[in-house]
Amino acid sequence: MRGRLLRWLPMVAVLALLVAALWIAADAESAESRLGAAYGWLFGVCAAAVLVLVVAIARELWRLWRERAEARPGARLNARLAALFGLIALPPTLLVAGFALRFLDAGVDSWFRVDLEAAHEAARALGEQVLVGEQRQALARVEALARAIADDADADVQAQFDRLLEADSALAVHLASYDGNGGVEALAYSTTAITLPGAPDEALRLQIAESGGVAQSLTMTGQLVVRAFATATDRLGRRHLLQWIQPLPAELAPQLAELERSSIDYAQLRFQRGALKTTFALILGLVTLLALLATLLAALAATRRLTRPIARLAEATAAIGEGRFGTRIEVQSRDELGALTAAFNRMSRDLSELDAREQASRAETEQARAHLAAVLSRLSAGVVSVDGERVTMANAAAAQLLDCALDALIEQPLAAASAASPVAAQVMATIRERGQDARGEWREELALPGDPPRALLLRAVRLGGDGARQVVIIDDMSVIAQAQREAAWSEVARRLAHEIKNPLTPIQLAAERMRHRFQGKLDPGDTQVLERATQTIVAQVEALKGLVNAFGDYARPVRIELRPLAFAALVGEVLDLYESSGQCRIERDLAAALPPVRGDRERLRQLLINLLTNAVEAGGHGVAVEVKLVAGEGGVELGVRDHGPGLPAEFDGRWFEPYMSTKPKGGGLGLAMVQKIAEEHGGRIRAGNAEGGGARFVLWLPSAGAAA
Amino acid sequence: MAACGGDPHGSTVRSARVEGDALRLDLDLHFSDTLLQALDHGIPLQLEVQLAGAVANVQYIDLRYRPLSRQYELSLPGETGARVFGSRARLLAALDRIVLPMTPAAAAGAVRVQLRSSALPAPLRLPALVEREWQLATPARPWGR
Repeated sequence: MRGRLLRWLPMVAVLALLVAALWIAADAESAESRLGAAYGWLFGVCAAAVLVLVVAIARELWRLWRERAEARPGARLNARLAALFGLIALPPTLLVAGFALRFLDAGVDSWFRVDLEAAHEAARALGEQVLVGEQRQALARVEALARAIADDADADVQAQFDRLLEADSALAVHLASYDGNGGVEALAYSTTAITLPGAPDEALRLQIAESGGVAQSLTMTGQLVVRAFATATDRLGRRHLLQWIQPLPAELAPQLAELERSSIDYAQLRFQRGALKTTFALILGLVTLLALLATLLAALAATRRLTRPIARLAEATAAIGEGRFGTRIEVQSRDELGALTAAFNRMSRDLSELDAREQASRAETEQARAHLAAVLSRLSAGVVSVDGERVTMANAAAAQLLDCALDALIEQPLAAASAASPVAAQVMATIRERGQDARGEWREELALPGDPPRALLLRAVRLGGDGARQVVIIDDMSVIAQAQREAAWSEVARRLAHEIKNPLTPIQLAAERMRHRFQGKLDPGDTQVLERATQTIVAQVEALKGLVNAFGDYARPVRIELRPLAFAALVGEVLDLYESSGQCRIERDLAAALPPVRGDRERLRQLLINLLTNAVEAGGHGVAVEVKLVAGEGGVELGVRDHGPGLPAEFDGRWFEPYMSTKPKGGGLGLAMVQKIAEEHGGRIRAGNAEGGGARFVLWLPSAGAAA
Repeated sequence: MAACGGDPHGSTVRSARVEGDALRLDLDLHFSDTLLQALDHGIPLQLEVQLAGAVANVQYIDLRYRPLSRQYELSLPGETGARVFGSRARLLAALDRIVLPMTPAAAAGAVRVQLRSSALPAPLRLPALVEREWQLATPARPWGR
């Protein structure tokens, strides 16, 4: 509501100024005062309208200045255009006003040329003479009437009036006789165009008394008449004041009336000469002011309207520059700006679509990268990508194989990556050396000293034509060899199960049948031999069956179900079992608040049983077994120490393979199963002699979070 | 100023009294030279007599110069025809004592006389609004029987 009022107020002011100026101009031209009472209000309205316009312009200028100070789009252009329009409008307006003022001044002056004035004066003098002639004539007639009344024997004024009118029927006159008190004593008239005026006042009576007769002209009921007074004393000694009023002759009256009117008009104009100029200059000033203010206001409004689409375009362009594609502008016109706006909208839409496609492509790339990273992270082989002298990518297995942190490799120069570890130094040197020399693919085996010594196989593929980028795949040959051995053992176990287990049952049945057949038929000595022999066969067959079953278990592919579980609780359960059996004495040290591991409960239970059984068998029945469970790096670490003879000096990783045992009994599958189950869970097992004697096996399992 | 307390030339209503149905006014009006020149140049001057009382009333007195006959006319309310004077001095002298009709006659009230600037020709109205030479107004004068 307030905004609408502010928008309309300047227009109302312009209209008010225009109407007031036209009103004053029209009134100034006319001789009649139609607007006399409203003049003060009219100028008040003009002042208020000018004030409104000035305030509106000031408001627009203030807004323009503020927008320019805030560096809003289009503000500078708006200001420049407004100034330009103002400069264009100002000179012609002032020029026209100046010339108009000059012409007005000259025009008003031209009304009063000397020859014109002389003609007016001559005409007026001529008319005056005619009028004076008429007055004299009327005075002569009334004086003649006075003499007739004085000579009348009857002293009858009314009769004299009547006789005069009867004697001259063409005479148009109005006669009256007043007594000494101003009362009408006789009246006669031959025309109704003249009404009886009021009695002469004292001043006129005095004048008549002094001069004997007075003649004058005056306007009665809109027409110029001649009035003459004379005094008469009748024979009875009475004094009569005679009044003679006659209209001017019909052939003179219009001309004299017109002459008097024009004389008055001319005299008035001559007197108003300065005021006329002032009034016209004032009107011209009002109109000029109106034109200037309205032009300025219109220029400000027009430039704002003109630059608004440009400002919107600038804002939208800035938005696109900030990456907000798809910004649209409403097309409000069909001109070039409208076409530009439409083109901008098309460009913005195209950019938006391109951006969407680019984002989708980027997401796909990221997804592929994440997939590749996931694949690489789960590879047991190490993968290192090198671009010239810089490592661009490496996976966790590579860091593990190179005995260094992943961050020490990724995005590091080869020299920096070489400093990460001795293994890394050896590998990076090989990559640099072979990368410079070789063409296409290359492979290299590196023997790494250590306990145990390791062998790494490096296989590289070059990417691109310049040969600077290459992907190096690193395999631990020891692990591969171990895996190959495990596979071989699995094959052995499978064949054992197939080739050996099948004949065992017929052997056992045959032995039992033989014992049953010959029992009681032989002499006691042979019967005893037969009994011992068949028992031995059956027992050994049972032992062979157990061995074959154990190998079968080792070789059988197992489907494990990994799920988060509290490893400490599982360890506690197994330890309770051993304690209650009385096979050994458990010294446990299980840390609280350990992270859960991700594992198969039954497989891990078997692992624990194998470890504890191994410890009990090593130490002997009833000895102590120390079990310690702590948090390790990225998982949990379980240490099992026995008090047996300890590990032999030649103990190494092969002792975790089947059929490797220091004990006189057993198939040598216990530790192999431990290692296999540990590897199934992403863990590892290592062994060593403890201080103070005995062996110590340490199992590391990744926590559920790390394993994920 | 003129509308409230009088003109700077000291025009006054010397006395005002009601006699019958008429209000007799003794005036002391001072016309400026500008006003007199305007009158001599045919500019009609109109005096506004404002009567304030039980019944508010405004009456007008017209002064006019006839260049053809070189006579001045005075038109008063209630009079048929104008009074005619051969000189300006006689005209102004006639304004010293005037009688205005009052119907109905109020027992008491106030009267003031002023030049009616809005009756002047258009070009003179603006100067009449602001210039003291164009101002003629008496203070309000109470009357009684």
